[in-house]
Amino acid sequence: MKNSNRLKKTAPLLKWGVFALLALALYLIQVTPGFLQFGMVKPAALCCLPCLVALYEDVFESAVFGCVCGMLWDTSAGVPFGFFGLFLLALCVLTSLFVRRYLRINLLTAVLVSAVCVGFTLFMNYLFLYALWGYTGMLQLFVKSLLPTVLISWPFCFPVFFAVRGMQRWCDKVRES
Amino acid sequence: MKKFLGSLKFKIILVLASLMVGFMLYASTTEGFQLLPGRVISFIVTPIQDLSAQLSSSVGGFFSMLFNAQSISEENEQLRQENQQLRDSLIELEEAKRENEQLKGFLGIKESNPDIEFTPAFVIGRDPADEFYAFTIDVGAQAGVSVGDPVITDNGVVGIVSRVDDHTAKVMTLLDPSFNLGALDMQSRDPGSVIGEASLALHGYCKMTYLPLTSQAKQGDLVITSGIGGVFPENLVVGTVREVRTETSSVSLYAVVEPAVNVADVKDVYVITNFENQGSYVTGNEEQ
Repeated sequence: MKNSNRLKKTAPLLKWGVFALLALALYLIQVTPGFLQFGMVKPAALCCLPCLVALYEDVFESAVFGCVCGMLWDTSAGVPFGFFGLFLLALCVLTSLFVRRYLRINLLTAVLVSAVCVGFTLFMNYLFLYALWGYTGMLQLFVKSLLPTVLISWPFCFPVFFAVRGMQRWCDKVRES
Repeated sequence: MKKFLGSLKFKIILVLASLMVGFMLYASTTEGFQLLPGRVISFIVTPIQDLSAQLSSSVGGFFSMLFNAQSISEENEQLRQENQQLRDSLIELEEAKRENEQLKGFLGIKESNPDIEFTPAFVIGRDPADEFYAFTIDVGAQAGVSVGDPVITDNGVVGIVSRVDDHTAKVMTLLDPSFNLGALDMQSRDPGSVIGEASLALHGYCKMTYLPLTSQAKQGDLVITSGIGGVFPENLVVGTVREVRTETSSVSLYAVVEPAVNVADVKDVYVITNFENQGSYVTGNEEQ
């Protein structure tokens, strides 16, 4: 009984600890030189995690987690600090507010949310750092670099979704026991 | 929904969002120096990133040897043929030898530029959001690295430090459209400016602009730094001219330059932390 109560109290901490480790692992996959790199294209593996967590968590927790993942990404990307923090925070808030309310949480929803998240974030990076400055060759960059990056980033949503859902189900089971 | 919009949690989220905007605005004024939250995150994550990069490099090297056996064999055969041609063309090679001795002097960084101080660095990160092979290295302000420091290898110019924190630095490569470097065609002695261009960068090339219409630059010419502007030391190898074309404006020429360093694969670099004339405006006429 005591152990069960202790587990109920620590389960949320364990859950967020696992999410944090997952964020770190995806970040390392994303930035390790030469790993899953195809020319100029590398997967933005970290991008879909906060939005998939937002499918199951309240707005505030989702927003904070999204912000932290974004700031982690900011340290390695050549963007002003806070850039990805802001966009991932906003996406997580929207996901938690609207997707949870109006859509069923299943694999299809997760795939759609990840696609939107990855596409939107990388497009914002392309727009503000390159396209708006009037450099030549931006269309080629969009087709040959941005789109392939989105395409190879998006499949990460599958294992991440199952991991997040598994963790959430374990927490629910502990809470109900 | 209305209840949420009026709640304390929503206000905290707005504060977080404002903080992110504030960070971005402040970051634009710090001239490339990383903000405190970024430095804290970087301090925690960098050792893990370093280890991950070392592991990836070791494993990648092993598999590269297996997968590239065919191309290594072909390259070996090609090098044999080149060597034979060099032996057969001895008279022409005397001229090439003289140029080669001169190039060795340029390529030997310390021989031609004894005033250069540099710090070795290892590439520990490449981000998918960086479109032009920008990377992170494992040295920062504590090792004497500053924003604007040139980054090179034994083969030539790689890029420039664009952001620094205590233990890491971000390098912008010469393929980036923001990159700008005073250069010289070594054979024709025409000055120009090496910049990145997106369409060329996708093929691994950069551009040398502002060549005069009467320029004698041609394919195979070596492009070196001119030292003008005080950003890079002079006589560092940038790359080789692949093609000379006319600008769309038709008032000048430009050269498509193949960089001497493959910036997509580079693993070890040197950051030049100090050299003579660094930061001073050198016009190139001082010898006259």
